[in-house]
Amino acid sequence: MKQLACVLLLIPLIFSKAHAQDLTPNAMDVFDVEIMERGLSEEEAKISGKPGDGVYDMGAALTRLWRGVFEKFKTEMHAGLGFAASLLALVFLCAFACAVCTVDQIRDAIEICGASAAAMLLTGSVNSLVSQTVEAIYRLSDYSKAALPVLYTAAAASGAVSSSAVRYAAASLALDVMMSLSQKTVIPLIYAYLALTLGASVFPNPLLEAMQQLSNWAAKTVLKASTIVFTACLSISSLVSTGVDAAALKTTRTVISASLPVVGGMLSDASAAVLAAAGVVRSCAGAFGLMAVSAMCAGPIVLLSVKSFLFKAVAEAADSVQNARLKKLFSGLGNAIGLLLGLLGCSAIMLFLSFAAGMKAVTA
Amino acid sequence: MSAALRSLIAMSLIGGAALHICPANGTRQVLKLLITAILIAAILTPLRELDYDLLGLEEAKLGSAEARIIQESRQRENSLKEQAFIHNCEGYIRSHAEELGIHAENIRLSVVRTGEARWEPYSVSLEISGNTAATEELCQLICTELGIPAERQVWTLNE
Repeated sequence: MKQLACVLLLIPLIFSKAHAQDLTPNAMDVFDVEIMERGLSEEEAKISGKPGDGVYDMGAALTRLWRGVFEKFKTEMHAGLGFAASLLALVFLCAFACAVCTVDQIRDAIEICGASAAAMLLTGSVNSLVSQTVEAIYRLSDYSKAALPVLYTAAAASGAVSSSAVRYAAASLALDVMMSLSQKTVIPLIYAYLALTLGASVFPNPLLEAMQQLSNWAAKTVLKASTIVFTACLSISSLVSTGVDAAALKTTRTVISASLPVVGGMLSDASAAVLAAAGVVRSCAGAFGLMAVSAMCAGPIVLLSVKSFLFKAVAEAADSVQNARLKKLFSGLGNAIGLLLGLLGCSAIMLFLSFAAGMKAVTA
Repeated sequence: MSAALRSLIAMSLIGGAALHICPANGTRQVLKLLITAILIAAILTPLRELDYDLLGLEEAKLGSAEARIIQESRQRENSLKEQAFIHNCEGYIRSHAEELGIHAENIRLSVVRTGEARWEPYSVSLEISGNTAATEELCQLICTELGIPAERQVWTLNE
């Protein structure tokens, strides 16, 4: 990323013609790069910065991102520790009650009550995490619809006409289908996993545990398969279309220069300047898009990671006092949050790959 | 919480409770099979509700998505090329004026489109000062090199 930032900073120095430098700010306006700034919240816009006039400071944006992630982590950890303390109190209360009780059936009943109480407390908060994840995915999808056309239009204007159009079509098709598939199958599977976790923790039996493993496996498989298929779609479309553009560029320039004298030379120079300016816009827009997506995902990813970690930690505490029901419940909830994290991560990866494919183009 | 989640939780709790209280004999095996079938059906229900027409609809949009990108990129590219061409021509006039000792400013060139991504200079207006004796030479240069006849050149002399 630092290398990309250095390249972007050095690009204006490569061009000796003044109009190449003058054209870039115009190109940023003509390609409506400012559209990529819309749809970002205030905090995300602060982290991403501004695309500028063809020079995007990726290094500074990365620094702001890490700082934002660290601040969010601190906040979520502080809030989460209080929440984990209340869960630990429940665990130790159940352990104490079981320890003083001598009758096995009453001990069993205490554990069932403890697990039910924890399930009732946690269902609401887990449901809210699922809603936040789905909302984050919808925001990523909406952002891709606004930002990808800007990037791919600039890429097409920089010389990669055929390949950009094909890649854009492949990326937008695959993104829509995969995000829809992920939400319509993975979210219900996560809900199924949650429900079976609750059932298996209150009434442990091999059947419910087997169903729990099945839904966990199914959710992970759908996520992996959708990411692999998306990557394959994008790669194949890139391979098929890239060769066409390079030959077309050389032919066009030769025709313009040969047929008209001074004016023809100026037209040819203008074409070269536009190709260069569009290339700068493409790189700038692509880098900005990557940072914007990172900023949009950072908050939810930190939240889900902290919650998953805390649930797993409380599960280990429950294991230490030999409360198998609570251990299963908290461990299962931690896994469910891990699946949500995987879902959000896969959606973000698909968007990253779409931006990266747009930044890779046939050079003039 | 959605109704589906509630019903799934209810099914798993009821199933678990039923297995828990059921004595360990043949009835338990039958109950296990029944609960397995119900839970598998509940887990696989989302697949039944998937929109299988979605892929066909999205594929139909592929062609229009490609065409849109190509059309938009051409429009914006042409707009930029026109700006760059005008800038180049104005720069050409300015540099030749400097060579002749003429200080030319506020050069405004207009162009006319002659084909796909091709323009030709149509008219020019400029303000000059300095060596005004060479204006005839500059006018001739603009006429021969850029194809703008004298009647479409507007000259303003700055004192």
